[in-house]
Amino acid sequence: MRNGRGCSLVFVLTVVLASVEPDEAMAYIDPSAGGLLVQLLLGGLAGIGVVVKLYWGKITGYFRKGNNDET
Amino acid sequence: MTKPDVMSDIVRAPGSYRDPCGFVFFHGNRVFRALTSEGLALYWDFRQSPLCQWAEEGHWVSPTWETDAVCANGTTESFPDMSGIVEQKRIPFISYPYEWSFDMLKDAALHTLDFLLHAAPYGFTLKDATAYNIQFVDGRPILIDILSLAKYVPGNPWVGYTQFCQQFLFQLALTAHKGIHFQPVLRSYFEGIPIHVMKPLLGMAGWRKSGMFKHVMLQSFFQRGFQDSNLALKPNFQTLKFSLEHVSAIVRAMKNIVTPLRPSRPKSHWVGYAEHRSYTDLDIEAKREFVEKSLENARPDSVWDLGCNKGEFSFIAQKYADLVIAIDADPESVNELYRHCRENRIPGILPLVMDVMNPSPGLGWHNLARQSFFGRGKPAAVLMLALLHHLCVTHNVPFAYLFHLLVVLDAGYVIIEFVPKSDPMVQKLLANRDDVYSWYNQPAFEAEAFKHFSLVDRRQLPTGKRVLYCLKRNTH
Repeated sequence: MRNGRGCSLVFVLTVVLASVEPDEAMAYIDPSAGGLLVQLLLGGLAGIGVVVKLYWGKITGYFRKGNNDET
Repeated sequence: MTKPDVMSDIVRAPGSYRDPCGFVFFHGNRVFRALTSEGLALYWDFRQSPLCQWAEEGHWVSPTWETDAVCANGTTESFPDMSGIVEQKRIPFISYPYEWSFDMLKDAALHTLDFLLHAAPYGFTLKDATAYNIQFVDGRPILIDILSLAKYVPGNPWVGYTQFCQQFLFQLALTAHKGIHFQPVLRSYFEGIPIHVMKPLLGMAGWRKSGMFKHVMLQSFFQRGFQDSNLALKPNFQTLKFSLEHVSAIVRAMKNIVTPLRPSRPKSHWVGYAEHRSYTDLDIEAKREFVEKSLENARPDSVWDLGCNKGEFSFIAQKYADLVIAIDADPESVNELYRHCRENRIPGILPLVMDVMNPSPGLGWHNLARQSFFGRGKPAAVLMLALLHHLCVTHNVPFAYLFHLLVVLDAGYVIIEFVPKSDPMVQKLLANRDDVYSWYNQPAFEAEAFKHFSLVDRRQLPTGKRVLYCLKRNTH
């Protein structure tokens, strides 16, 4: 959890994903969503995998939605 | 079997409405919790666990016990849906985190984290991590909400994580890394600083500080990312077989972030006030003697030391009163007083950060969830030493307003220092302002004082400028 590779992965993940997220502050948010995801990350490599999967789902969902809009 | 107490005139605590397992109510001076069947089960889980004995003996939690007291109309009629009542030891004076100094909040944070770590081997956790569940008794933090204890269910995260960040970590980090006093911020965001406010306050440079990247930057990023999502995240914790070991690892990591935090602001000039004041040694000795003699004569059970600075006179009051509330607007002076009390194990002093010109108001739902400062108790005696000129000259408070407040507070005794215009400290205040204080003189002060109080003792300090009064409230 505290090793260098884990931290690097988190950093790279954050920087890459930050570019696809809007930088708008919240209109309405689940106040605990961010806290839950941080805990998943801190839960070890398996948790990091879950977070990556969740974001991958968001990215593919975004493109799928884009394709559907075009057709 | 003794006849159970029958309670009438029950007052439900206005701020106790969130927990579905029960709520607090008062009967006279006693404090009770009404429990639902679920709350009662939680209570017995804890009561029968060895954790309970450890926690009560070590003063980690406020003592709570079963009572056979019933309400005047019978428990079930007064509180439908409630299955039981427990009584809790009364806290002498309730204070709120936005009135604590840095080290008080930090000690409350560490108390919460240490309790979580100690409870884990017994299979217990805390359902929340609100700073309002902590109170200070004899200079030590104590957990007052016994209903926040629950058996940990495997596959769950640390439920109080976000609350801990918002009510403890972010406040401490703001003072430690940015030099921003957290008290006024927490008073506004009394549920804690939201992540979207914390992130810009911390700024880019703050991310490099221990734990801030994870707990501020990442948390903010994730929150934004999932603000529109209705995706349930909790099942992932079950998939990962999240356990108390995972929770404890996160709590331990949090403790490692909180423990080294120190306030970063340079010391305020009030911290060195005692060393740079305009008194002679003879004045100080005479002042101490006067305060000691007055308190010895008055024997108040509670004293409010308004403008206490580092508590020089609170320590004298503590010898005669069970409880001294030591109040000052300067967070650093109050922090020094707290640390001194903690390190020297001085009981009976509760240091609080509060500006007498802007005391804590009623906050939260209906302005009642958190009581105003003056609504929380009445002092038997008030100390106002070297404060008058700040109120009257700096803030233009008329004598009539001042004594009206003291009458409303119902203080039996007031020990107050009159600081004349000729005093160097008042001259300093007047240096760059028009002197519109013709009314600020000793005869006018006495005229107003003697409308409501009678003179017990008066002494002019040896330098011949400042005058000390011990006043006793007139009874009509």
